[in-house]
Amino acid sequence: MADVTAQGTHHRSATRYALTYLGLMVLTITTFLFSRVDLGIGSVAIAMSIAITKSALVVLIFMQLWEHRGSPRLAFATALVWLALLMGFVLADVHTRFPLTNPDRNPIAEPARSAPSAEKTRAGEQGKP
Amino acid sequence: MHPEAIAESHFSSPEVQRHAARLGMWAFLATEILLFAGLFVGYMEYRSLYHESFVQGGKHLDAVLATIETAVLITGSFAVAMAHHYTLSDRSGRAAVGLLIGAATGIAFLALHGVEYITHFREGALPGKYYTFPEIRTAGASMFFTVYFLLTGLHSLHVLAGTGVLVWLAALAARGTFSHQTYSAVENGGLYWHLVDLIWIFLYPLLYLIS
Repeated sequence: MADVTAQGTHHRSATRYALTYLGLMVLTITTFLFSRVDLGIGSVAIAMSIAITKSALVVLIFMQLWEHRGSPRLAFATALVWLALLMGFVLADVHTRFPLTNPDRNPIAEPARSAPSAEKTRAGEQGKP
Repeated sequence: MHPEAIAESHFSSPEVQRHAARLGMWAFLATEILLFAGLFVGYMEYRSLYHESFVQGGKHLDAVLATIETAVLITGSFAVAMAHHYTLSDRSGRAAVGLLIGAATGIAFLALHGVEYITHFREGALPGKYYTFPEIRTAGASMFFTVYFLLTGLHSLHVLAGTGVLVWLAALAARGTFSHQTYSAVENGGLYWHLVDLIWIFLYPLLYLIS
């Protein structure tokens, strides 16, 4: 199957690679320009959406997962599932903790070593949104 | 004459052997994704614990330089994809050139990233107890640079390894080792290079853009 693909359609793939390259460059410039404007949480959403689009282009076209069906797709999809589990549960942990278990909210925690003094560190935290 | 594919005795045909090589490579790439996943999760956790420091740290990094680095890596990926295309078309000379361009972009990326590292070393924006950067003094500021150095450092090691692989493949391609039947090494080396690009596609916005 793969060899039919390799010999049958590889003349088309040069154009496809060039278009993908162009798309990736345009998306890179777009995400950079968007990052210069402060859109709050929207900035994160835009940056991550563009990153996911770019990675889909790389995986499907450059890494040829669009053509190579079957086991390579399964290996990649499995990695994504493990990734989602790892990220999902760690995020759930961090965001549902009892506040005092977090270092920057713990009044008796040691001040950060890098801080010049404990007072300044506290002042910095109070300014935090 | 182009090299013919000869399967190892335990494969029923060259095609089955190529499929096995490809699946093996994807299984390896899956472990690479999970290797970086640990660091990405560390980034997420520390970002939510020390939000202000991560915002300040991100603003301090050079986003313009990182954008140029991104463009360099994407160009390398394109060159390697074209090398794969030329290998399948039995144009070994062009394939070798594509692989060499890929390697050159790897060296360029490392040089640009070296410039970033030198700046951070000079200003003391370093991990852990070596952190002496006066401009960001919020709690956990050194953790941003710990995560930054671990993520970009591990990624740069991969760029270095990938560059070596591409130079080796270019040398083999120039000698006419590959053909439309014997292209597994080019394909799998290329997959590794694209993965390095893929990791950077996420590092770039997370570290440099979303501040």
